[in-house]
Amino acid sequence: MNSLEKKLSKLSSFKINKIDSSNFISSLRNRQRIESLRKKRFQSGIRGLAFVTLISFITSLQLDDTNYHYDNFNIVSYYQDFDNEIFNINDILVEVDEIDFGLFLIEETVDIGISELIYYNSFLIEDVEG
Amino acid sequence: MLSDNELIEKFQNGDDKAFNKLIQNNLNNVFGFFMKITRDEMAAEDLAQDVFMKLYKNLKKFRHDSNFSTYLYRINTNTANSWITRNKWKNLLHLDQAPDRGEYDQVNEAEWERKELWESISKLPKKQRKVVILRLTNSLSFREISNITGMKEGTAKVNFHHALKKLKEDLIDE
Repeated sequence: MNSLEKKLSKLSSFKINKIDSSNFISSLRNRQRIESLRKKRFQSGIRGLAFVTLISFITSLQLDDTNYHYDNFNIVSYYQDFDNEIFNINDILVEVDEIDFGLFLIEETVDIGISELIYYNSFLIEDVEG
Repeated sequence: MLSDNELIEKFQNGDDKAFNKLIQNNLNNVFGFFMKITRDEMAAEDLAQDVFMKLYKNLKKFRHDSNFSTYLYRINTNTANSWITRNKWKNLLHLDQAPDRGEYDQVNEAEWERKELWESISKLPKKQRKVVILRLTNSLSFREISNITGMKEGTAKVNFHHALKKLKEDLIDE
């Protein structure tokens, strides 16, 4: 041992009081209890998380695998075609009942004269009466 | 009175009370080891508790390949090493709060020197620090140090020599 080592050793040496072992052991056991509780709490948290993950996974597996998709289509008014002269009103008249046509004109607030209205109405009455 | 090895065997066979006796047999050594480093009863008791907690967790795996005292020294040294590293950062963060050396009277001179010494030790590389801790606090021989740390006796000597050189430079600078 050289002088520096002796000096350093001297700095580290001093009288040490004895420690009460029973107090030490009881506080150590207490600490162990707290740590084991903390560990159990952590483990139950992990188990809970795993359970939730498993249930979510199973649920997602049970879902229908159809690919739902929504088509984008042009919402063009059916009646717009009349305006654009794609449909001719006369062609339609061949297909539809006159009463329906009357109702169509009324619904569409086509500007019609009162005499025409009465005319169309007569069909309605006939239809109701049989 | 049962020996440490007999107590360990009893503990390994499920006798939890044997561990209490093992603590009683070794407590003062462990506490003394940390008191020499910390000079603080609370800190030394906390560190001793850390050691026995680690021991409790790992003692079931102890295979008597080495002496129990060597095994315990190894845990002590590693715990002390971690404490010194932790404390180094704490000291760095509280540098502005450290009292000026001029405020100290002669009674506190030794205490100041001791603090300076441990601050310098904390700056040493881990291997050198381990050797210094064992040599200074327990005056162990290099053979015993080599058993505890797992390094060769010559390596331990070289590490200690380098550590002393650094400590000397560091303490003279301050």
